[in-house]
Amino acid sequence: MITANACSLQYKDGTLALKPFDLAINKGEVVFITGPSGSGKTSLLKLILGMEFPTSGSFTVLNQPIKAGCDREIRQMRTQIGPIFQEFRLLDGRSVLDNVMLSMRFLGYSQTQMRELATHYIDRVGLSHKLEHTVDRLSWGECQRVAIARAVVRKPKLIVADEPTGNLDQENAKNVLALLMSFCDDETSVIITTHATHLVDHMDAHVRLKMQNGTFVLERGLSHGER
Amino acid sequence: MAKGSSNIGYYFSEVKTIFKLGKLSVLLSFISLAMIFFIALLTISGWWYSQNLSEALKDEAEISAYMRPDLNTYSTEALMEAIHEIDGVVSVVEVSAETAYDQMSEVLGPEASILAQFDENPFEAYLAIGIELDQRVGILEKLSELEQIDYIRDNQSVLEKIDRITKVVGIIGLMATLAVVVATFIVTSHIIREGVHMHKDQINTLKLLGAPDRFIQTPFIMEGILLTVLASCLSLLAFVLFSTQLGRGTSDLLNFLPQLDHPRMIMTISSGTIIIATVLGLGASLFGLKMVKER
Ligand SMILES: Nc1ncnc2c1ncn2[C@@H]1O[C@H](COP(=O)(O)OP(=O)(O)OP(=O)(O)O)[C@@H](O)[C@H]1O
Ligand SMILES: [Mg+2]
Repeated sequence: MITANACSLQYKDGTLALKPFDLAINKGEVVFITGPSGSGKTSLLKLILGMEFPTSGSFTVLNQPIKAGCDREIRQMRTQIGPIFQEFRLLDGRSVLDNVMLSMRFLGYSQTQMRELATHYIDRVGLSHKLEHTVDRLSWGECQRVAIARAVVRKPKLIVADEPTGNLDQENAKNVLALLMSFCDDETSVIITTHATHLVDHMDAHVRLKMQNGTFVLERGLSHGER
Repeated sequence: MAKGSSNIGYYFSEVKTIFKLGKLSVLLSFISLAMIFFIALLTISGWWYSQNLSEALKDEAEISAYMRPDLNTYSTEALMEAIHEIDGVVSVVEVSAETAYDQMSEVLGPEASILAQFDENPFEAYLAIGIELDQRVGILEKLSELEQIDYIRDNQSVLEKIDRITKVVGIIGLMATLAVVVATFIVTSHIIREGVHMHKDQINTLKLLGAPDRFIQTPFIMEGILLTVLASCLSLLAFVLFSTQLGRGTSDLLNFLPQLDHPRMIMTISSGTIIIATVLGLGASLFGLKMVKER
């Protein structure tokens, strides 16, 4: 699903965000990426989404090499990923339903299919009573759940969530992590970054990446398929 | 795949938010586009009119030759034959004094009553010589050599003036069209660029979700086409109102001139304008989008 060989990432200003690393993440795995601020968690997710290219080595996501000159293919590859951004990136002025349907619009679904799927997943994140509400008037936690519904509604092969526990109290943070992990199945991997090391230490995961200063230690917990 | 059809509603709601966000600058561009189109419509229709007028007058190009009063019927016929021989003469018709009187009263219409003021018919008999306009000078020369002719009345220099005016108006029309093309292009592509700029975050989000460029760009292209087409429709409306008003005002005044085929002109100009506006809107928005991409 994701493979890296001697891959590194250096930003234009010279910051070496990720020192050369190897990595392999398989289908159907839950991956926690933890580490202090500035350790390179978001940088790794940027590589996965093809927002940055490796400075050296190779990085492949869903069989698509992440490198310059593959813009079209990378754009296509992204349709199989459900991203949940730290700042959500919902479309202001649009309803919850519109926001969730947005990620399916260019994938060839019919209007009815899109509506059915969107309603189903909005229900699953517990927002069915706010279907037609404008996202501008939702609370932070509600926006997050819209973002989650938008990411998972198109049944991606990879769900990527950056800092989903950021602004939440312990109880809600646990709930969101559990919700995200519930979308992991044989076909779908879930990758989550978080500061909250103490929270995820108790949770089952296949892979833990503990980041520090652009390097990481990889621990395998559950074997593949087990959860 | 129901890709296109299921998104029509989405595209239109996107266009609506693009317009809403752009508010004042979209409105101002819309108004300037409509005014540009209006001015172009005026010059082009002016060109059309003078073109038609001069064509129509050319068909009726005539020289009037007045015969010496002592000429008898026999020599009149000989003279007519001689004139017919001249190169470029299409027809020679004798117009009697009575016919000349009738023609004038027709031209004058209700004003014809002033003719009754005369005790005698003030008109003389003459020969109406239909000519090919470009041979006019040669014909006039030949006619002046014929001694049976007393004098010649030639109002064709007016025609030449009209011809020249037509050419000038034609050039102005061409420049106006060029100005419309350039100005529409600049205004529209600028407004598209501005729209893209204001929607930068949204466009980035869509890219991260994997949306293809065509999906992202469609609302902006629709915006450009809508802008130019609606502006051209507004200018057409103003133009039709204006020109029918003008037509009504001048038709009494100019009723001796050949009548212009007004509905046909409106139809041709309207469809032409809308087609041009659509093409321009499409071209300019694609251009605007390309400019954004390259930066
Ligand atoms: N676009 C950029 N240009 C230059 N340096 C950058 C850029 N983005 C991030 N960095 C730097 O790269 C390093 C890693 O940043 P990254 O955003 O990956 O950290 P993080 O682990 O996600 O931190 P946080 O937990 O605060 O979100 C930091 O030192 C950061 O300053
Ligand atoms: Mg981060």
